[in-house]
Amino acid sequence: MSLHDDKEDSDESLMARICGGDRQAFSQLVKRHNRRFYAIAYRVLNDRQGAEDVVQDAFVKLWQMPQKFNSAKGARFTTWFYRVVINLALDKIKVQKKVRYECDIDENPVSNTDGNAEETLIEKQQQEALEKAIRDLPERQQLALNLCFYEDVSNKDAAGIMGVSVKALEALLIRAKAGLRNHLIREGLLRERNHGT
Amino acid sequence: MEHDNLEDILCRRKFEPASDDLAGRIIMMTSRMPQEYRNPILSGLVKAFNESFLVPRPAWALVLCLIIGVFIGAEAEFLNVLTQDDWSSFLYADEVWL
Repeated sequence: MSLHDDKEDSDESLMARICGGDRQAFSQLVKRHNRRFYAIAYRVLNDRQGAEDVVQDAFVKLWQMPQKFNSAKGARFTTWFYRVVINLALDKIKVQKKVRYECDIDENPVSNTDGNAEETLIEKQQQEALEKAIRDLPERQQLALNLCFYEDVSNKDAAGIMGVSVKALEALLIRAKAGLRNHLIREGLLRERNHGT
Repeated sequence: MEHDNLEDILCRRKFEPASDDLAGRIIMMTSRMPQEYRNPILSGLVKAFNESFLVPRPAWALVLCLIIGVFIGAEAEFLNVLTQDDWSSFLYADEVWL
Protein backbone atom coordinates (compact mmCIF):
# COMPACT_ATOMS: atom_id res chain seq x y z
CA MET A 1 0.00 0.00 0.00
CA SER A 2 1.46 3.35 -1.01
CA LEU A 3 1.27 6.01 1.62
CA HIS A 4 1.62 8.79 -0.87
CA ASP A 5 -0.90 9.84 -3.51
CA ASP A 6 0.56 11.76 -6.45
CA LYS A 7 -2.66 12.45 -8.31
CA GLU A 8 -4.45 14.64 -5.78
CA ASP A 9 -3.01 17.27 -3.47
CA SER A 10 -0.34 15.57 -1.46
CA ASP A 11 -0.78 15.14 2.26
CA GLU A 12 2.15 17.45 2.89
CA SER A 13 0.67 20.23 0.76
CA LEU A 14 -2.66 19.83 2.56
CA MET A 15 -0.81 20.13 5.87
CA ALA A 16 0.81 23.35 4.69
CA ARG A 17 -2.64 24.72 3.91
CA ILE A 18 -3.98 23.54 7.27
CA CYS A 19 -1.21 25.51 8.96
CA GLY A 20 -2.74 28.53 7.25
CA GLY A 21 -6.17 27.71 8.70
CA ASP A 22 -7.63 26.08 5.58
CA ARG A 23 -10.61 24.03 6.84
CA GLN A 24 -11.29 22.58 3.43
CA ALA A 25 -7.80 21.09 3.33
CA PHE A 26 -8.38 19.64 6.77
CA SER A 27 -11.69 18.11 5.68
CA GLN A 28 -9.98 16.60 2.65
CA LEU A 29 -7.28 15.08 4.82
CA VAL A 30 -9.81 13.65 7.27
CA LYS A 31 -11.92 12.07 4.55
CA ARG A 32 -8.83 10.64 2.88
CA HIS A 33 -7.29 9.02 5.95
CA ASN A 34 -9.83 8.55 8.71
CA ARG A 35 -10.49 4.87 7.96
CA ARG A 36 -6.81 3.99 7.65
CA PHE A 37 -5.96 5.43 11.05
CA TYR A 38 -9.13 4.04 12.58
CA ALA A 39 -7.99 0.58 11.45
CA ILE A 40 -4.65 0.74 13.26
CA ALA A 41 -6.28 2.23 16.35
CA TYR A 42 -8.82 -0.61 16.30
CA ARG A 43 -6.08 -3.21 16.01
CA VAL A 44 -4.33 -1.75 19.05
CA LEU A 45 -7.45 -1.27 21.17
CA ASN A 46 -9.77 -3.97 19.81
CA ASP A 47 -12.62 -1.61 20.57
CA ARG A 48 -14.57 0.33 17.94
CA GLN A 49 -15.67 3.20 20.17
CA GLY A 50 -12.22 3.60 21.66
CA ALA A 51 -10.61 3.57 18.24
CA GLU A 52 -13.02 6.22 16.94
CA ASP A 53 -12.30 8.37 19.99
CA VAL A 54 -8.56 8.06 19.43
CA VAL A 55 -8.80 9.01 15.77
CA GLN A 56 -11.06 11.91 16.65
CA ASP A 57 -8.62 13.16 19.32
CA ALA A 58 -5.70 12.80 16.93
CA PHE A 59 -7.36 14.84 14.20
CA VAL A 60 -8.49 17.48 16.69
CA LYS A 61 -4.90 17.84 17.91
CA LEU A 62 -3.75 18.02 14.31
CA TRP A 63 -6.21 20.84 13.58
CA GLN A 64 -5.29 22.75 16.72
CA MET A 65 -1.52 22.42 16.31
CA PRO A 66 -0.65 21.55 12.71
CA GLN A 67 2.78 23.12 13.08
CA LYS A 68 3.85 20.05 15.06
CA PHE A 69 4.27 18.28 11.74
CA ASN A 70 7.58 19.32 10.27
CA SER A 71 7.73 18.42 6.60
CA ALA A 72 11.02 20.26 6.17
CA LYS A 73 12.89 17.24 7.50
CA GLY A 74 11.44 15.07 4.74
CA ALA A 75 8.97 13.35 7.01
CA ARG A 76 5.83 11.90 5.48
CA PHE A 77 2.52 12.92 6.95
CA THR A 78 1.24 9.35 7.21
CA THR A 79 4.36 8.11 8.98
CA TRP A 80 4.11 10.94 11.49
CA PHE A 81 0.36 10.61 12.01
CA TYR A 82 0.54 6.84 12.43
CA ARG A 83 2.88 7.53 15.38
CA VAL A 84 0.46 10.08 16.83
CA VAL A 85 -2.50 7.70 16.59
CA ILE A 86 -0.56 4.71 17.92
CA ASN A 87 0.76 6.69 20.88
CA LEU A 88 -2.73 7.92 21.72
CA ALA A 89 -4.08 4.38 21.49
CA LEU A 90 -1.32 3.03 23.74
CA ASP A 91 -1.94 5.84 26.23
CA LYS A 92 -5.62 4.92 26.27
CA ILE A 93 -4.74 1.32 27.08
CA LYS A 94 -2.55 2.44 29.97
CA VAL A 95 -5.33 4.64 31.32
CA GLN A 96 -7.95 1.94 31.03
CA LYS A 97 -5.56 -0.84 32.17
CA LYS A 98 -7.80 -3.29 30.54
CA VAL A 99 -8.11 -4.53 26.97
CA ARG A 100 -11.24 -6.28 25.90
CA TYR A 101 -10.60 -9.21 23.65
CA GLU A 102 -13.69 -11.24 24.23
CA CYS A 103 -16.06 -11.43 21.33
CA ASP A 104 -19.63 -10.59 22.14
CA ILE A 105 -21.69 -12.58 19.76
CA ASP A 106 -24.70 -10.31 20.18
CA GLU A 107 -22.84 -7.14 19.24
CA ASN A 108 -20.52 -8.58 16.65
CA PRO A 109 -22.18 -11.14 14.46
CA VAL A 110 -19.66 -13.44 12.88
CA SER A 111 -19.60 -14.18 9.18
CA ASN A 112 -21.27 -17.59 9.59
CA THR A 113 -24.88 -17.04 8.60
CA ASP A 114 -26.23 -20.54 8.25
CA GLY A 115 -27.48 -20.60 11.84
CA ASN A 116 -25.25 -23.42 13.03
CA ALA A 117 -24.84 -22.56 16.70
CA GLU A 118 -22.01 -24.96 17.33
CA GLU A 119 -19.88 -23.62 14.51
CA THR A 120 -20.61 -20.10 15.64
CA LEU A 121 -19.47 -20.94 19.15
CA ILE A 122 -16.30 -22.58 17.85
CA GLU A 123 -15.54 -19.57 15.71
CA LYS A 124 -16.11 -17.30 18.69
CA GLN A 125 -13.72 -19.35 20.80
CA GLN A 126 -11.13 -19.27 18.04
CA GLN A 127 -11.46 -15.50 17.79
CA GLU A 128 -10.93 -15.18 21.53
CA ALA A 129 -7.94 -17.50 21.50
CA LEU A 130 -6.39 -15.64 18.56
CA GLU A 131 -6.95 -12.26 20.15
CA LYS A 132 -5.46 -13.46 23.43
CA ALA A 133 -2.46 -14.87 21.60
CA ILE A 134 -1.85 -11.54 19.91
CA ARG A 135 -2.35 -9.59 23.18
CA ASP A 136 0.19 -11.81 24.91
CA LEU A 137 2.87 -10.74 22.45
CA PRO A 138 5.23 -7.93 23.49
CA GLU A 139 3.91 -4.52 22.47
CA ARG A 140 6.42 -3.93 19.68
CA GLN A 141 5.76 -7.31 18.13
CA GLN A 142 2.03 -6.63 18.22
CA LEU A 143 2.56 -3.28 16.57
CA ALA A 144 4.78 -4.73 13.85
CA LEU A 145 2.19 -7.43 13.16
CA ASN A 146 -0.69 -4.94 13.09
CA LEU A 147 1.10 -2.58 10.73
CA CYS A 148 2.64 -5.04 8.31
CA PHE A 149 0.22 -7.95 8.28
CA TYR A 150 -3.13 -6.32 8.96
CA GLU A 151 -2.68 -2.82 7.60
CA ASP A 152 -0.44 -3.83 4.70
CA VAL A 153 2.11 -1.13 5.44
CA SER A 154 5.46 -1.75 3.76
CA ASN A 155 8.34 -2.87 5.96
CA LYS A 156 10.19 0.35 5.22
CA ASP A 157 7.25 2.54 6.20
CA ALA A 158 6.46 0.46 9.27
CA ALA A 159 10.08 0.71 10.39
CA GLY A 160 9.85 4.49 10.01
CA ILE A 161 6.64 4.58 12.04
CA MET A 162 8.14 2.49 14.83
CA GLY A 163 11.49 4.25 14.74
CA VAL A 164 13.50 1.07 14.11
CA SER A 165 15.60 -0.27 11.28
CA VAL A 166 14.02 -2.50 8.64
CA LYS A 167 16.07 -5.44 9.91
CA ALA A 168 14.84 -4.86 13.44
CA LEU A 169 11.27 -4.75 12.16
CA GLU A 170 11.71 -7.99 10.24
CA ALA A 171 13.10 -9.59 13.39
CA LEU A 172 10.04 -8.41 15.33
CA LEU A 173 7.74 -9.92 12.71
CA ILE A 174 9.57 -13.24 12.76
CA ARG A 175 9.41 -13.39 16.55
CA ALA A 176 5.75 -12.38 16.54
CA LYS A 177 4.79 -15.13 14.14
CA ALA A 178 6.87 -17.69 16.01
CA GLY A 179 5.26 -16.69 19.29
CA LEU A 180 1.79 -16.87 17.78
CA ARG A 181 2.49 -20.23 16.22
CA ASN A 182 3.60 -21.71 19.55
CA HIS A 183 0.63 -20.24 21.37
CA LEU A 184 -1.90 -21.47 18.84
CA ILE A 185 -0.37 -24.94 18.74
CA ARG A 186 -0.77 -25.11 22.52
CA GLU A 187 -4.39 -23.98 22.16
CA GLY A 188 -4.97 -26.68 19.57
CA LEU A 189 -5.85 -24.23 16.85
CA LEU A 190 -2.80 -24.94 14.74
CA ARG A 191 -1.31 -28.23 13.76
CA GLU A 192 2.31 -28.65 14.66
CA ARG A 193 4.43 -29.03 11.59
CA ASN A 194 5.95 -32.48 11.31
CA HIS A 195 9.29 -31.98 9.66
CA GLY A 196 9.85 -35.69 9.40
CA THR A 197 7.00 -36.27 6.92
CA MET B 1 -10.92 -27.26 14.37
CA GLU B 2 -7.25 -27.17 13.50
CA HIS B 3 -5.54 -25.31 10.73
CA ASP B 4 -2.27 -25.91 9.00
CA ASN B 5 -1.52 -22.34 8.07
CA LEU B 6 -0.84 -19.60 10.60
CA GLU B 7 -1.71 -16.88 8.14
CA ASP B 8 -5.13 -18.39 7.48
CA ILE B 9 -5.89 -18.08 11.17
CA LEU B 10 -4.52 -14.56 11.38
CA CYS B 11 -6.71 -13.48 8.47
CA ARG B 12 -9.80 -14.55 10.40
CA ARG B 13 -9.18 -11.99 13.14
CA LYS B 14 -12.26 -9.94 13.91
CA PHE B 15 -12.47 -6.39 12.62
CA GLU B 16 -15.27 -3.89 13.09
CA PRO B 17 -15.35 -1.11 10.49
CA ALA B 18 -15.67 2.48 11.59
CA SER B 19 -18.99 4.29 11.70
CA ASP B 20 -19.99 5.80 8.38
CA ASP B 21 -20.15 9.25 9.89
CA LEU B 22 -16.72 9.24 11.60
CA ALA B 23 -15.18 11.72 9.16
CA GLY B 24 -18.24 13.95 9.33
CA ARG B 25 -18.16 13.99 13.11
CA ILE B 26 -14.50 14.93 13.19
CA ILE B 27 -15.01 17.74 10.69
CA MET B 28 -18.08 18.97 12.56
CA MET B 29 -16.26 18.94 15.89
CA THR B 30 -13.34 20.97 14.59
CA SER B 31 -15.51 23.40 12.61
CA ARG B 32 -15.92 25.58 15.71
CA MET B 33 -12.42 25.10 17.09
CA PRO B 34 -9.78 27.73 16.60
CA GLN B 35 -6.23 26.79 15.86
CA GLU B 36 -3.68 27.45 18.55
CA TYR B 37 -1.37 30.20 17.50
CA ARG B 38 2.28 29.92 18.32
CA ASN B 39 4.92 32.45 17.47
CA PRO B 40 6.94 30.49 14.91
CA ILE B 41 10.21 32.28 15.71
CA LEU B 42 9.87 31.89 19.47
CA SER B 43 8.70 28.27 19.29
CA GLY B 44 11.55 27.52 16.89
CA LEU B 45 14.07 29.00 19.32
CA VAL B 46 12.65 27.04 22.23
CA LYS B 47 12.68 23.86 20.21
CA ALA B 48 16.29 24.43 19.11
CA PHE B 49 17.29 25.12 22.72
CA ASN B 50 15.66 21.90 23.96
CA GLU B 51 17.22 19.88 21.16
CA SER B 52 20.67 21.08 22.15
CA PHE B 53 20.33 19.02 25.33
CA LEU B 54 19.27 15.85 23.57
CA VAL B 55 21.95 13.20 23.57
CA PRO B 56 21.97 10.90 20.58
CA ARG B 57 21.95 7.26 21.61
CA PRO B 58 21.72 8.04 25.35
CA ALA B 59 22.46 4.46 26.39
CA TRP B 60 25.75 4.44 24.50
CA ALA B 61 26.61 7.90 25.87
CA LEU B 62 26.04 6.70 29.43
CA VAL B 63 28.17 3.58 28.94
CA LEU B 64 30.94 5.67 27.40
CA CYS B 65 30.84 8.11 30.33
CA LEU B 66 31.08 5.23 32.78
CA ILE B 67 34.05 3.74 30.95
CA ILE B 68 35.79 7.11 30.84
CA GLY B 69 35.01 7.64 34.51
CA VAL B 70 36.43 4.27 35.50
CA PHE B 71 39.51 4.95 33.42
CA ILE B 72 40.05 8.36 34.97
CA GLY B 73 39.50 6.94 38.43
CA ALA B 74 42.07 4.23 37.84
CA GLU B 75 44.58 6.63 36.32
CA ALA B 76 44.03 9.27 39.04
CA GLU B 77 45.93 7.13 41.55
CA PHE B 78 49.10 7.65 39.55
CA LEU B 79 48.41 11.33 38.95
CA ASN B 80 47.94 12.17 42.60
CA VAL B 81 51.03 14.15 43.63
CA LEU B 82 49.90 15.31 47.10
CA THR B 83 51.73 13.81 50.07
CA GLN B 84 50.33 13.27 53.51
CA ASP B 85 52.01 16.46 54.73
CA ASP B 86 50.71 18.49 51.85
CA TRP B 87 47.04 17.68 52.21
CA SER B 88 46.93 18.09 55.97
CA SER B 89 48.92 21.33 56.14
CA PHE B 90 45.81 23.47 55.70
CA LEU B 91 44.55 22.19 59.06
CA TYR B 92 47.16 24.15 60.94
CA ALA B 93 46.49 27.87 61.18
CA ASP B 94 49.24 30.43 61.53
CA GLU B 95 49.03 31.27 65.27
CA VAL B 96 51.82 33.87 65.44
CA TRP B 97 49.45 36.81 65.48
CA LEU B 98 47.54 35.28 68.40
